Amino acid sequence: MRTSVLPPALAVLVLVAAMWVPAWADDTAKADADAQNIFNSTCGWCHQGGGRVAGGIGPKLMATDKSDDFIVNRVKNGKEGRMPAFGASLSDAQIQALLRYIRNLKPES
Amino acid sequence: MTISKRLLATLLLGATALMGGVVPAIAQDKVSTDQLNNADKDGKDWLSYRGSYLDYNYSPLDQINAKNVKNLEVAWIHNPGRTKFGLQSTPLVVDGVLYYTASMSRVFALDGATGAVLWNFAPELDEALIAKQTHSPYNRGIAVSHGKIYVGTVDGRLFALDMKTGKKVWEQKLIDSQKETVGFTGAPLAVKDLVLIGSQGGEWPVRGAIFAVKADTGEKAWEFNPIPTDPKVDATWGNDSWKTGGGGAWQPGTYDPATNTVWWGTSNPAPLFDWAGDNWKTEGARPGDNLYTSSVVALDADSGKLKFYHQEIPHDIWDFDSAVGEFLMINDRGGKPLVVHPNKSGYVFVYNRPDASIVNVWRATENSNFVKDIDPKTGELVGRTSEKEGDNKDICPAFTGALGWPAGSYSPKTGLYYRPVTEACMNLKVAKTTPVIEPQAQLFVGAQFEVHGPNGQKPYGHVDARDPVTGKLKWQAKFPEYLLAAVMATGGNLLFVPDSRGWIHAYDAGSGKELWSHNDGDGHAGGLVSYMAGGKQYVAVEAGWGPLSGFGFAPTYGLPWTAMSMEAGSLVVYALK
Repeated sequence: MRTSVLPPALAVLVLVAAMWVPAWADDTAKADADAQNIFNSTCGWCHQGGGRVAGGIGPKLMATDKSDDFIVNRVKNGKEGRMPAFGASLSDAQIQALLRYIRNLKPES
Repeated sequence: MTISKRLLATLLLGATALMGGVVPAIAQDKVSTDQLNNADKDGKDWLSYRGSYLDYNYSPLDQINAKNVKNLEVAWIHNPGRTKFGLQSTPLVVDGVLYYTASMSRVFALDGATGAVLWNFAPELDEALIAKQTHSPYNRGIAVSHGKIYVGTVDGRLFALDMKTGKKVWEQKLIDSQKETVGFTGAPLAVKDLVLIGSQGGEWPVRGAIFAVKADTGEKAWEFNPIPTDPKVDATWGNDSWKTGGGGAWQPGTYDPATNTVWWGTSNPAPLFDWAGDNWKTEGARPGDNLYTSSVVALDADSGKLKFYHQEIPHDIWDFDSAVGEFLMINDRGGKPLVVHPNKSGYVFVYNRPDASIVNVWRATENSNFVKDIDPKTGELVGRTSEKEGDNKDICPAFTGALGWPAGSYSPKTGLYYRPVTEACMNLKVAKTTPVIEPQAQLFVGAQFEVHGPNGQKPYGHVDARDPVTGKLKWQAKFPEYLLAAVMATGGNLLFVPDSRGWIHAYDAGSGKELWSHNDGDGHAGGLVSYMAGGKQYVAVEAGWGPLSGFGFAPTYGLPWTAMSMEAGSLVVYALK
């Protein structure tokens, strides 16, 4: 039986590749943590249970059938008399992170 | 020979008119300090937010009474249009003219007998700012004095209007709302030659304030910050947390002319919730008692200087602020002057009027566990619970408040204090958060939460008739949903209760027997008053659903809220057939 062995140079390359975390991944993780903070500090005032529950000031967000564009637009521009506009307060990256937060909502055990 | 003051004034007025001169100020001083000080004596008008400085939200009128209330019918209706977040204000009435506000600080002056519009005022507001605000653009009322109507705006201004024409006399910008996001929603309070108004705040990373401006010019006279720069106060805020500490004072307090003292309630600190657990004095988001948030403050009316205070909820972690306002000025049986103040926690504090020392503390809620008790002798929180990071389940009452801002009512005739109470609890998932203050302040809450009813029920409400000093219950009316509107007792032995479904009920104030009801077709979330016009008594109630606390009614209770507009409202005025 023949065992395949990587040449030493290639092995080092594979190891480095496995250890390397791209800068954008760092940014995404930071943005997601930031989104969690924004939600706990601001959005959760209206969207109960972190967005999992109906009955608050704002609607339930978990498993919403709204499109990404709709959600981004609503966060940016709000709706008169119902929801504030956050387009001037939050960056596009923060709003995208909030979108990921909403899409990843799962029922709490 | 002596000449009466009235005759002298008439002669002076006539002489001035003949000479073509300026009409003396005495003739223009409609709603004088004297009138305000004695507003409780004459029920024909409704001169301040809760009727008079006694804060009873009570009308002594008795033309409409327990015997004839069954003959009450709608006299006229006014629709203010463009209603956002419901109609939440309380009208004022002067000499048969009714003044009230709708959202966007729009003011209407109406003939009290017919509803004919005499004038209206719609300030041009910063709509871009309004689009970014959560607690906006509703308005909760106005003040009147010295010929002017005063109204605050959500973009941080205070307006004075000529009460005869509705024309602007002055405006004063008091808050940088474009930076701090919050503005004014509460009614101002007219005190002598000043107008006072408190800012929104609480769960915002900014410091709220109570402002006093001169009634004739709008020039700022003084400002009291609930988190003043003071070493004694700083020591109650660890880690410089005072800088983002909240503490607005969004509802008007009242005034005690005998001691020249303004009584006002301050709101909760920010962030709303805290992860410090039992170590809240030294750790967490804002270590310490957090003076003077969630407190009752007594201020010198002329200078705004703090005379004395009582912090009802030290280190408030439940949103049980004292900003509810409503300071019943009553005397005990021995004539000792007291002040009765409901706190959002469901406890009612009874104070000695000279120094806010505690006389008694009693509980209005049926469901409460955030403390074991509040010591009725000292006001100290006994067995307080703490919040830790993560899950904190079934805390009662909920942050929405057991005793909300819409006014209760005290009847000197029955000696009973009538108060809507909410029964609800909450689950909290507390998280460490940091405030967002750039480029514009954002809500600073610090938890995910869920409001639910006690013991597996849905949240519900009741109106209690109690002794205001002891809390002893005389009667109670239960409601399947909680109430978000004020109640009003009258000299006709009636208690009017507008409910969230849209019905207004009249009860026998002594026994609690329901005598009459009528459907206004829209949930109630504001105030109601009674007044005389053309020799006839009227009851005016605001019907208009859409308050923040009411947004959850549709998913929680279903009909009629699933079919109820959140963008409509009307002032409905009743009189006898």
